[in-house]
Amino acid sequence: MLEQFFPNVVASSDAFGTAIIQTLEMLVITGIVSFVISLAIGVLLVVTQRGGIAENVVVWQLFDKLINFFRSIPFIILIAALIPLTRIIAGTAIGVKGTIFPLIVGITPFFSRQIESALNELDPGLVESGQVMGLSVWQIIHAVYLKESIASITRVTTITLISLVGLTAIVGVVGGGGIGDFAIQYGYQQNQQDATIACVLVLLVIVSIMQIIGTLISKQTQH
Amino acid sequence: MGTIIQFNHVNKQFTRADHQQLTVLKDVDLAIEAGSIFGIIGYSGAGKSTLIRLINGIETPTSGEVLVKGVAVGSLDHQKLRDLRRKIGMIFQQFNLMPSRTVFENVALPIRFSGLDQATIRTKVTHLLELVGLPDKADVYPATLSGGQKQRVAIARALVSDPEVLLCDEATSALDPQTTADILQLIRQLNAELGITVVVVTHEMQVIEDLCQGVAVLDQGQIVESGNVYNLFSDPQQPLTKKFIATTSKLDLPQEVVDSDLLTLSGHQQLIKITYVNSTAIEPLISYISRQFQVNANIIVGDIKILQQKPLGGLVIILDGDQQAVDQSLAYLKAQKIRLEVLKHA
Repeated sequence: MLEQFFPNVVASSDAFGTAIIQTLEMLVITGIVSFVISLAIGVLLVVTQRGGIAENVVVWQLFDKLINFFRSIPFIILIAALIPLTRIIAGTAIGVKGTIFPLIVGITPFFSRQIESALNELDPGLVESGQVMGLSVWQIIHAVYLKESIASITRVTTITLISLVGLTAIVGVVGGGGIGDFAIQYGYQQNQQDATIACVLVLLVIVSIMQIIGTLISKQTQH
Repeated sequence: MGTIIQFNHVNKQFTRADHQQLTVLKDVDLAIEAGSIFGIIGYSGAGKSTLIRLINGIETPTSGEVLVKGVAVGSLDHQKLRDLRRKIGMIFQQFNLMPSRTVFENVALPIRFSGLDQATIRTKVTHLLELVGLPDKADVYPATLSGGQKQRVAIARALVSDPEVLLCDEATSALDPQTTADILQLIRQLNAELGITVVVVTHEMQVIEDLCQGVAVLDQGQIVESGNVYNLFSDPQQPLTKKFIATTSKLDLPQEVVDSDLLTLSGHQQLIKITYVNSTAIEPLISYISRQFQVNANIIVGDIKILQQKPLGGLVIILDGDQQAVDQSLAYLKAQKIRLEVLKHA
């Protein structure tokens, strides 16, 4: 059955399996690292903005402009521009090892904006009631902002991880490995249509699982 | 008891996004007695919410000072300001309960980081939920509660740090009249039992009438009139104050009604309004003049209530009799501790 519909994929099943594992590696490592950094930057943007609980125009302007700068660079150009820095940090600019750094730089500005908007959705009255009960800035951040935004943060994290799947495919083009790489090598360059379709199906499954988990967590945390 | 909160020449300006200066409060002087219930009334945009937020330092004055227990709020560092805020509870129009926390967790939130042990926190929260009448709601989420219940939870949360002051920012404005009455009753009870000073801002004169001892009327950032609630209600000076009081009184007849056929006067009839000013007893004035001077007193509208153990309100009546009887009646009424107003002659 598989042989009938996906003859080329079955023939290179080892490479296909490796590609799936590489994509998952990129997603998990980049996802976790970027989540932590983006959460920090998102919180920083929200608390330092005008009228925020730790208003600081200089810090806000700095991070706001930095994010705009990185978001304005198309990812494929960003990868190329970062190669020297990637070599210093990861020791190599190719393979999964070489993709993590550009992926983090590529997704974090978008992720930070998503977190920022999720936190800004919170009813300002809740933040104010945290202030009037005498909580410190840190206490308000974790007991009000983060705790009360879990559902929105889950939602934007799902959106971001799904975008990240797209980026992992692009890194493949410049020798990063993963499903994108497999699709280009086998599907495009060797004109094996079934390889391309198999890649699409795998990505569809990954994205669907992410969406299902995200929706589930989001629902669980809403009362 | 002494003053617990004092405003000295407080001004507050905001710089809008377009760099325009917006004056919200102008030269506000205010003294609030410890243990009292004080009301601030004004229309939306009068500066009430800003004024009440100066007390716990959420807003800071542009000039002037706000003293709480003799200490200028603006002079406090972060730590001291947080200590002060724990001594000042606050409730809001929209309740501001944390949706992802249970009622118990909401009430416990202000003391969660205070270093108190779990058992003490449990005891305090349980006691407060009993006090506000929700002992069986500890483990439910706010979304399942009614407006009145949410405000009760908010009150419990505001009281958990044993504050000396409770600030109420339009606390009943989102509630129906019956629930409003229940919440006001609870606030009165807390004031009486705990001796907590209560500061209320509202746009509803009924809340002031039902709850407060002292009141200030705020108009476009300025206090135009203030004082004891009875005095203000019985003898308002400012047009705005009169307007607010008219919302709770039935005595102010619209001019169309005064001019209407219903109140057509003949002979020596006069349409008069008598209002209590500061009397301690309701005198049988009407019976007296009708017996003594042989006038008929036809009561058109009556609205008398008891405020701070004193009668408040009055009557609109048509005096009917011969010239002398009417004149003598008016002279007698003028000599009493009431205000007399002739609305219309025959």
